[in-house]
Amino acid sequence: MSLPSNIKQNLMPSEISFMTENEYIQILPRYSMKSIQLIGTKIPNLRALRREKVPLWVALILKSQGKCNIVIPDWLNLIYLKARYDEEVKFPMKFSDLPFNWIDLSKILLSKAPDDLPDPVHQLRSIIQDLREIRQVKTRKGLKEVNESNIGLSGLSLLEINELRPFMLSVMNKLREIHESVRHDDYDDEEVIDVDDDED
Amino acid sequence: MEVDDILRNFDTEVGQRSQKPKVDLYTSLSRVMLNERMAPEILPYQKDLLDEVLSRITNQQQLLLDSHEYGDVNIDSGIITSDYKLQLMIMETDIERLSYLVRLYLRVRLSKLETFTIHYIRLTGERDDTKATLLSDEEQEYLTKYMGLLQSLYNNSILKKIPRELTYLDEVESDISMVTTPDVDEMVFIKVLRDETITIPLEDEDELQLEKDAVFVVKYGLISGYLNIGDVILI
Repeated sequence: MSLPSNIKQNLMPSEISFMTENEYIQILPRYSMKSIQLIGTKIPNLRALRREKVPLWVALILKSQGKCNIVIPDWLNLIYLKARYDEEVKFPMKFSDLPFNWIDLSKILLSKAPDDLPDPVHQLRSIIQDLREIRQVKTRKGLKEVNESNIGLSGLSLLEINELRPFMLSVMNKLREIHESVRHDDYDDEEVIDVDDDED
Repeated sequence: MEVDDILRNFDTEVGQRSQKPKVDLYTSLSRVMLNERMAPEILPYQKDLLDEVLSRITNQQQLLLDSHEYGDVNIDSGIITSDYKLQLMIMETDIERLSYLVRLYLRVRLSKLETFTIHYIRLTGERDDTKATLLSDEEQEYLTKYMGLLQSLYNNSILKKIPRELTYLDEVESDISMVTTPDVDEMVFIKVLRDETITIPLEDEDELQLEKDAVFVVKYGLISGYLNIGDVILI
């Protein structure tokens, strides 16, 4: 009641981008502005054309007012992403190295700061979509590795993990229950026949 | 007093208070919220962090009110620039974002208390040291009142009409307890923060190596110790 059931043990995409907005990003101010003391952090004195690091959400406010340019992280360009895509194709068992929040960060920057991007937006969008799809195929192939004990997901971003979560949790918890009942019955033979059906 | 003076005063005020090693409040609060969100059981109440965040929010709100007043008074004199308004807007957004996290954290905890009411009544009744750290005073009060409401609802609607031996809410029938407890073996998604590799023994003499920054899905019970000391976080 105090928490809607659809966000229990799961995150909404909007919450993931909320968390991404708390990350710091470099900006190139166009005007000067005095420093602001915020609760969790402090925005330094901004001087025109001198790079500063601020939380992304502050950068987006300033950007929407036309007061700064956002310095695009060095992985968000066609050359780098193309190279990552080739890597994904070349190593079918491995995820290429991308930031933990690459999908949501690129989405925010593509929509809120298109004029700061080094490459045309549509080309970036299409390469990001390609990357996302090839990684999705890989994770789906990897789903057959799911077992009752543990599984490693290193290399995936939070949003990609979140997509898998409902499926993985329910399957792993079910497998665990079955596994436990098998173990339980090893000690106590009475229900062994029952369990054989579940096992395969 | 100039706007800058207000802001400067506040700077020094806050500066003095936060001389200790500076932790990013946003990060710690988001982590605490996420851990709570994903853990099957309720985690100890983060009193220090919450107290600090709440008192800072109150201070900042007061400052914001004062600044607004200052702005309203001087609106005709021409010293109020659009920059000033923008700064106030950023401050306001900051307050809203933090309160959102705090609210979410508390709501997750309340929903767990509502699900496992009897379990936590028992747990907090048993030992005094768990009671002191697991729940905040307000949550403890909420728990007791909620239980009272539940009980009187059950009593009035059904329990008083059925035989007395069937009316217990915490009966144990052939090893199965009526009280729902959190399932500590539930699977959780974790991310490792500690620099050294953590080795977790599994059943059948297997081991699980958790390297820094690795993401794993494991049973909550296996890592809950590391979670409490902050070596791993739930995601």
